[in-house]
Amino acid sequence: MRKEDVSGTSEKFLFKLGLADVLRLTMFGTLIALLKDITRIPLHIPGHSSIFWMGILVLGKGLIPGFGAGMVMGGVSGVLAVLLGLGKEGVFVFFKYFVPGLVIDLIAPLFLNKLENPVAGALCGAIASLSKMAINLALGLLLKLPMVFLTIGLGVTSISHTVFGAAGGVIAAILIRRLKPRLKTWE
Amino acid sequence: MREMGFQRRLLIGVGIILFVIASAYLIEFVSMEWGMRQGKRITVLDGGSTVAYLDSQALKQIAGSEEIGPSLNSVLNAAGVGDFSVVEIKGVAEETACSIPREMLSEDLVFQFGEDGTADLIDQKGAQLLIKNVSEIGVKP
Repeated sequence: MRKEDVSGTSEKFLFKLGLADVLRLTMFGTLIALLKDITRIPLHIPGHSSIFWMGILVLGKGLIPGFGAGMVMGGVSGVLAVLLGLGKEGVFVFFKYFVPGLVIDLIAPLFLNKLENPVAGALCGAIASLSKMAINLALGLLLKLPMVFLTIGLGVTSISHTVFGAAGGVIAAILIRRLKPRLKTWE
Repeated sequence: MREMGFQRRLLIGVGIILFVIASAYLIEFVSMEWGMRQGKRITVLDGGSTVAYLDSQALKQIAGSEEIGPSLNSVLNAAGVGDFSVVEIKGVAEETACSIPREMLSEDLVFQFGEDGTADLIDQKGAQLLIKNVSEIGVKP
């Protein structure tokens, strides 16, 4: 059980997470939205942004494994995406950011939250990336938007999302392994 | 109850991914078949092999800011077809087809969008409908 500190940051604030954890997750969520806005990787392959997007999601969930971590990161990045005007979906872009976080929350317990394991990290990243593709497709159909990412076919798109999501997950797993022992004094 | 092993959990994860990818291919196949039957998807063939699939959204993107749809020339360029001498265009209805030699291609041959996501090929010059509900564009060397 976590030790209570003077500032009360270990008390449950949201879901089963303390205030300090929620603030840290907010930082990860912000990083996702800002990186998505700032980076312009000229790869022209659907899902390539998953390499850092899912990487950060898996990293955040791996370092703060409580239920709700993914939703906080997804929610924060979703709100920021709406405010920054990312994507063509308008306010619905929120779901594009929130759903992968939700999926990470649901899928990580399947791997006993051992996201420092590269295989588990890769699978988590890939599944979250595929959920992003699915919500992208659903929003595209719902709002009748041009789905440029589908020009090479949904099947190939799903494979590219899997590959980039898995790559992000592996990088995150390596980082979790290196960072976790050093972050024992977070509280 | 015995706890599920970690390796088994990883296999379930792999299974989920394979299921999603297989579903994506299935959805793609079903929507493509349905789209072709309805004339909502156009197949571009180069020497018999498929080089691109286009729908009305893709055609609108090729057209850019132009009010009318894209010209046949720009569609062929966008699809990246190689050298050819004849273009054969087919409609959804089996008997509707026409062959156009390369030298006859002009910017007057354009696609016109239907309200239901289909596209017709028209000759702007003669205000003539050449093919209704285009389903296939094939080039031959």
